Amino acid sequence: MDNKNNKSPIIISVFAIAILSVFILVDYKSETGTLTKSNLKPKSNSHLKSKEVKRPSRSIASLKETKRDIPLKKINKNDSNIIIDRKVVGSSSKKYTLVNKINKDWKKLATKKLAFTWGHKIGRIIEIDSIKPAIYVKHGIGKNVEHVRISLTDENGKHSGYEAYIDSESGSIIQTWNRTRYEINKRVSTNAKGKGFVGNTLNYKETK
Amino acid sequence: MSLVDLTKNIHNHHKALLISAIMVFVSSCEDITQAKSNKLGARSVTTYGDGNGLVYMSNPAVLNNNLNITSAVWNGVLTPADITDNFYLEEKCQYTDPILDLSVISQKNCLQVKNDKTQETLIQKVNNSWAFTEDSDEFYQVNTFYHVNKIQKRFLSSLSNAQNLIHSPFLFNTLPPAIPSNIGATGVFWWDDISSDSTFLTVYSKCYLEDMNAFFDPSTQSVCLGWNEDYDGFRMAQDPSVIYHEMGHTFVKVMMNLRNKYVDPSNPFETKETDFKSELGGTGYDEAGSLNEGIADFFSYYITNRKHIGEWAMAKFGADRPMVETNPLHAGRIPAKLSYPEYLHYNSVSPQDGAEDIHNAGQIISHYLVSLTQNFKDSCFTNLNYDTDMIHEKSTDLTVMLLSETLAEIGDMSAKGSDFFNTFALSDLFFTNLNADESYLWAHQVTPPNFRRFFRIFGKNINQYISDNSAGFCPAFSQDNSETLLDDYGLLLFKSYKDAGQGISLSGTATTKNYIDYNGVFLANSGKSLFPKNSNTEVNETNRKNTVLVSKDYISLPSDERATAFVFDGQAFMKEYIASLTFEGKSINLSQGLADPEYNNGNVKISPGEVVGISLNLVNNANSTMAGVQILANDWDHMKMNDTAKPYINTTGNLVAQSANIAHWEPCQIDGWPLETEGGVFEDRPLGLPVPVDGDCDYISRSNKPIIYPNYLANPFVPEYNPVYDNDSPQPICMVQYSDENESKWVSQDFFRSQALDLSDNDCLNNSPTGSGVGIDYNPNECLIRMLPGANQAILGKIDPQKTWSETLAASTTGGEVRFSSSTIVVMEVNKWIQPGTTFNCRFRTRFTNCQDCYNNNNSGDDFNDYEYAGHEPFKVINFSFTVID
Repeated sequence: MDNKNNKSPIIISVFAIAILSVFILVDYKSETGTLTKSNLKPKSNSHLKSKEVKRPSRSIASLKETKRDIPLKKINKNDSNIIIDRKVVGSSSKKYTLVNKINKDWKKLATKKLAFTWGHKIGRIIEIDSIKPAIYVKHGIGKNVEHVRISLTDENGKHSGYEAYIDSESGSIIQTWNRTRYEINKRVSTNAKGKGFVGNTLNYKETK
Repeated sequence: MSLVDLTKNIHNHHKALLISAIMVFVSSCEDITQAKSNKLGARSVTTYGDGNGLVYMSNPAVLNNNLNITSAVWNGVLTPADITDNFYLEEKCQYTDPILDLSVISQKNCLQVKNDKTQETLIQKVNNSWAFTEDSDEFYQVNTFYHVNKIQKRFLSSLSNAQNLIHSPFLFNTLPPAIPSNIGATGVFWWDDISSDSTFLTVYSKCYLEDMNAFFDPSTQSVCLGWNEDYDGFRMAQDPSVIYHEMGHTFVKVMMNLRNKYVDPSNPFETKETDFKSELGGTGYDEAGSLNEGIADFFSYYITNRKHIGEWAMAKFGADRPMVETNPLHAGRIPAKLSYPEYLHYNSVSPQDGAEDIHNAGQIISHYLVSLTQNFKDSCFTNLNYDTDMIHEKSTDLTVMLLSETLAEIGDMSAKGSDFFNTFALSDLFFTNLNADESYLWAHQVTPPNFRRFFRIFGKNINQYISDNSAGFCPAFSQDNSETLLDDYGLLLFKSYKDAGQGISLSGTATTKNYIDYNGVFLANSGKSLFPKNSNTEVNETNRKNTVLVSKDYISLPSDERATAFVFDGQAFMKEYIASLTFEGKSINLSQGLADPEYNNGNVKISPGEVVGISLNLVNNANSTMAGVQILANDWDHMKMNDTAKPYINTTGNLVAQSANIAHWEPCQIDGWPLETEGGVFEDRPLGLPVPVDGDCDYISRSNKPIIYPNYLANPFVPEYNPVYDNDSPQPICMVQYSDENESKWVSQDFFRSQALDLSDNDCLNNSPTGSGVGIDYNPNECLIRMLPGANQAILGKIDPQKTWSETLAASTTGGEVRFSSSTIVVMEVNKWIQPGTTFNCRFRTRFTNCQDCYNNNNSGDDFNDYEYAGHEPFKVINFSFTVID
């Protein structure tokens, strides 16, 4: 063992004390409300353990309420808060006519619709995380929408996610984007065999 | 916090400090003399300097010079390297804005590495060292971080360089730049908001995936590098080229969205975002997705300077890919270049299993980009006193500049195309992706970045920023050189470059605009004037030796005994198919109670109440291959309102308030069909006189505006808000045959449901999602047959000469099996109230990438304006007729 190594425990301890002292200060600041390192860490969202996703732990209709959910109050259409609470996405110069209401159960409706089209299988998990409520304007028609992050985990643990605007009244998905991109391609409908027909179905004749 | 609490807290901290100090002391002794405990991990006995750790610079196959290696061997191949001076495995992003002369550091960390999603806190360095035991989780996190951070820094440097080159005050610009001049101010160099938690890109180095893979998830801003217990000792993270590839996808996202955040003109201290973020590629197969994969492969070469990706991690699954024709994986099968469209299905590892796959097709792109970069190396830097690494860096920087400028224009959701127009000062002026309301639809479905669109813009940027004699950075690589290289790869798919611009001003009378209309206007922020060209630079036709363009006249449905279409009406299959679309992120909203896969009977006919998948079996009647065939089933401008003074939509509410003003739509005659005697509208107008006006069959909607609610403000409590159609409202594609005592004609679905079936609004498809009245997107012209949004487009990779698509695909594989993916099938709902025997005709629009006359109508090379893609001129209209049979 050389000299350097002989000294290393002491050096390490000194460093450790210094580092831990910093921690004390950091935590002290935290208690007093100053933004600290620990506050910079992501919120401890209830991530699924990687092994756990294999187990059918939740029903398809299970709904994850996250800390980021913005409470939605029931708003009268005449209530000017609609405009105040929700910002128009895109250009602020857009003029629009608001054509839908806000349903406090939009998330339940959206989950139900997703569950319907995705199919009911034990172990499938649907999570809808609110990003922000907004007003989406297209051709002068304004819609109250919920900008959300949708995460789907199938019964084998495979994940798919995307962002979406959900109609705040009906729970229907208006548009999706930012979809998961897998590296090694696994086709969705591999080996699906369609049957062909010739001409109009009125004179139906099947081909291979 | 009270004083008592505070004291107690500090006291507890002191206690913890003492205990911790002892533990650290003990553990530091253990480091020297004993085996490491599990809890303190996997810390290595040796340190390599402050903030350093041991790193594998490449994958095990390369480091051990053995492509057949079966397990990750790190012995003797690891290198000490600087990881980070930070205490945790995270990093802030730093971007130098050369125009604003600003160095921007993200307020919070912009990337971090974790083991997996269960890990709540980041690992931290110990003894100021990142050295951990080989093969430990911490070791792989550190290594993943090293490579992620390395490419992140390099990319931001390249982007800064691109911004500087393109906005150079010494550059005489003739093209309005797409890259914004104020990247530092908007923070678009990274994720959505560099001042918030959403800034984080999280990379998971041991991401459990039952089906081994790796993925980039832009919605959660994460990269997952796969692992599972079935592959003993193997992890995706062991291969840096895979890490660079996945990071390449993140950079594509950044580049596609460079223009989608901007300074609010009404408040210069605020930034605003466009409605959506752009993505390059949808789900399943398409050329945009292939571009994304090819570019991501290039980003591996960008760092490694190796023309092969995934020699270790992807090779395990037969998915490693070469990026040069001389690579041994090709085994000499490529005599010239990996050209389009010949090698679209080609898989170098198993060439007998050709398939429509974005990774296969993306190889054409990666080979081209690597070859282009090699040209830059050979033409632009060899005379300078640079070493090999510097030449590689300089050359790849030029390629990234071209990619950034191209993708910024393609992905522009503001539809402006450039800050040239003082950003949003001219609110109704648009130069790309139609307009701000329809830009997502145009950029992702109607005029998506196929290989033609991408390389027409990419080629334009080569001409301007590389080859131009007065302003280019490497005139030695000339326009002819560029066109020759593009042609070698079959990518010289256009006749001119979009230099003059083709925009539209929606203010007042919609008029088309060229850049020259704004000659001398100052570019916002950078303060330089631009002097645009007044015409498009034409391609030198003598350079087109390999690229073959084919007329759209040669594509059709088969007229012989070959299948016209494939029908999918099995109950289980369609349920699974809709489920897969939902899983992939298509916005599928089925009508309620009128059509459901439950009604499907699997008899290969189209029956009432079914939800049916259709795959048109198009035939190529030409003697050359057609590729990138796109079949559109979305609404378009192909019908005419018989009286524009009566525009009210046929709804219950309007029948009460506007019964005399209900709209009535008739099909325009297209390609001579339907005849006037069959209900078609023929505009008998001598060429140019009088000028077509809004609402005419030969006038195409400038805005693609569907429905207006003019009376809402006057009477906001009427449920239907008295909606009216726009004069050129895009209409659903299917019409129906109607017969009365005297004649048989083609009519709108709305007409038929009223006259023949007497159906109410609620009995129409796309009825109210809330169950009462009609929805705000309701259109009775899709009352009976509705092409499902989210599944109203199909892409066919290629069709060989004189073959159908299915014959082409069958010939690509040994077993001759035709496999349908989610991108090859469109889905239609069939209203359960349709009487069997009712005949429909649906006007699909189709075009393909190497089409001679799908992008201009006079062979001039001047492409159609964006708005014209709402009509039929850029397409071959495919009339698909079927009779509903029970």
